[in-house]
Amino acid sequence: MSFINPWALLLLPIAYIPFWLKSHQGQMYSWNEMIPEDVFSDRFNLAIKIITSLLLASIVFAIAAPHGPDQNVMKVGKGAQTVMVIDRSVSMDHPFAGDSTSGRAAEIKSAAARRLITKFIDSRPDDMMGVVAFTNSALYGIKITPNRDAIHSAINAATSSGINQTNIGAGITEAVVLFDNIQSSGSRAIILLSDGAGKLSPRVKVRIQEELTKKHLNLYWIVLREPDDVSIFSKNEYAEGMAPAAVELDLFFKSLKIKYKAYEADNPTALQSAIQDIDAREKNLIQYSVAIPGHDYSRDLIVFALLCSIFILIIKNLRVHSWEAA
Amino acid sequence: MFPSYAKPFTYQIPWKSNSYHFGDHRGTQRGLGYEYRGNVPLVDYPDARRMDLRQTLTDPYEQVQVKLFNQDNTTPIFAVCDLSSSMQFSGQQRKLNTVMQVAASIASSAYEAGDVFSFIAYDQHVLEDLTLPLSLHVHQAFEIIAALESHKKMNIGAEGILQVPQYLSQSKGLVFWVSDFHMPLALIEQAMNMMSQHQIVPVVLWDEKEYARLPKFGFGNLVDPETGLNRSIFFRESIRAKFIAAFEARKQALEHLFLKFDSPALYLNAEFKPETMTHYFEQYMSL
Repeated sequence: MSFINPWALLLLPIAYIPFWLKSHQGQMYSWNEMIPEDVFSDRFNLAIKIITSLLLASIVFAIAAPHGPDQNVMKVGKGAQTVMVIDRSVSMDHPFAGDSTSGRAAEIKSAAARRLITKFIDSRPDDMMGVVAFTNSALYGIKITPNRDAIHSAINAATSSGINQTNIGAGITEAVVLFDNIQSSGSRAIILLSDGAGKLSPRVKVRIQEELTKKHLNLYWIVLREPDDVSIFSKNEYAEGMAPAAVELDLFFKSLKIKYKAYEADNPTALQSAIQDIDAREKNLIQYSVAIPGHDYSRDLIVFALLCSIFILIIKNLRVHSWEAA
Repeated sequence: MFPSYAKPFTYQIPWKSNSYHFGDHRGTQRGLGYEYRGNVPLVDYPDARRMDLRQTLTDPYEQVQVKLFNQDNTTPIFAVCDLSSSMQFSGQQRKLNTVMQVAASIASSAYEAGDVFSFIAYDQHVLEDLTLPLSLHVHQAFEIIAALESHKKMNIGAEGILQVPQYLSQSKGLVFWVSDFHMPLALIEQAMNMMSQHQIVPVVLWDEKEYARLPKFGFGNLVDPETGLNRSIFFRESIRAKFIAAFEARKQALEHLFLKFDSPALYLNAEFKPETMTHYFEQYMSL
């Protein structure tokens, strides 16, 4: 039992007011010594004073906001700790130029991503997820959390309208940082969703390499390709430094000593299958603890105060305002 | 002009007034009256108009006998009025307004009987500026009584009754003590003792709204106008019975006290009827 605002307890003497102040409202009577003793009235009066006191006291306590002790509950689930790293460059607002037979031709990439990722999240109730978006630099979405509402909101934010450029490095480094302040569950993945690639500076490369290997992160890269782009799976040989950015990035990821898989999706269906594949791969048992906040008593107190107020209101309407009733 | 609320009644006094003024009550002074006092020889009281033929004839000393009569005299009338805060209680009408009616009626009755009248008001002390010495100036009395309309002093008790005896006359007078008698019995007894050379008529003003016509049901906070203290009462049928019983007991106690001083009380409900006063005097104050 602890108080959020213990200073409010200084107001507790307010509860003494009904006993301290005398009411001067009422009817004038000629001589109070003529009033017969009446135990019922005295008790009734005392009861009203006590209820008024309780009302005031419960409001004071409600301001002090007492709450019970926090509890940590260990939960075991199948799933992973995943960070979605989502591209928010302008090109994500372009539609897939996929063939129209997919039935979903010309769906906008970010909308498709939002739809499918949301479905992905909903199909994995035990996962903990974080979200990072990136353009010129990383945009923090949400820390790694089991809270579904927060994740959905972050996904909605991260897949809203596009701005600026693609800076994959910043996105990944930011995502990596999210794993710092959460206990490892043994299965950790970064899902990178972008529609292209940028060049990574050597410094960033080194940093990514260190972090990914040290933290044993799995990396999945879903490339939302436009049909005329070079596929990263093409067997073309490029001269050193002449390869397209995507191919170079793919090579860099492959060179890391981590579990890495790349997907290409040039339409929503392909994207869906890519995500399903990731879903199938990331199925480890994870254990995580959920902090359940202690019971907040202030609401009960306010309800109690409300009941007292209603009672007092009823009594107030029982008041005799005139002697006409005779 | 007499105010409309002055309703004169007739009163008589059961003792012989010893004033010298010619009035309406039997007195102790020899003079032109109707009360036969005795016979004396004409030599002692040379008033040939009052010759008593029968006594003269039967007188062994053959003196001419004359009848003596007592003159009818005035008597002082006092209206002692309680202006303590409890008199501000409004039932069917404010008690002080009833006081005004009673006092004005006493003043006009005294005027009609040719008696001197004095109005004395008191609360914690005797209120000098609302007090008139004995006089025949009835209109001054009416003016002062009319001033009670605007008298609204709160939180003041009635202990001033103990100073009232100093303002009464030396000779026996008729004192109307108009009050609700909501004060300790000991105080009433002390006052009655101090005024015991006069004939006191306690006029008790109680209102039905104080006990019989209480609210039927509900929660009321009753504030005492003199002390400011309050009591909360949950009105219902049984408490009404208790109130009536309390007032009944109070009435018994007052009667018991007043009868010790041979001055039975007159209970007035809200409105003042002069007949009640007249009946009272016929019942208790006839010789």
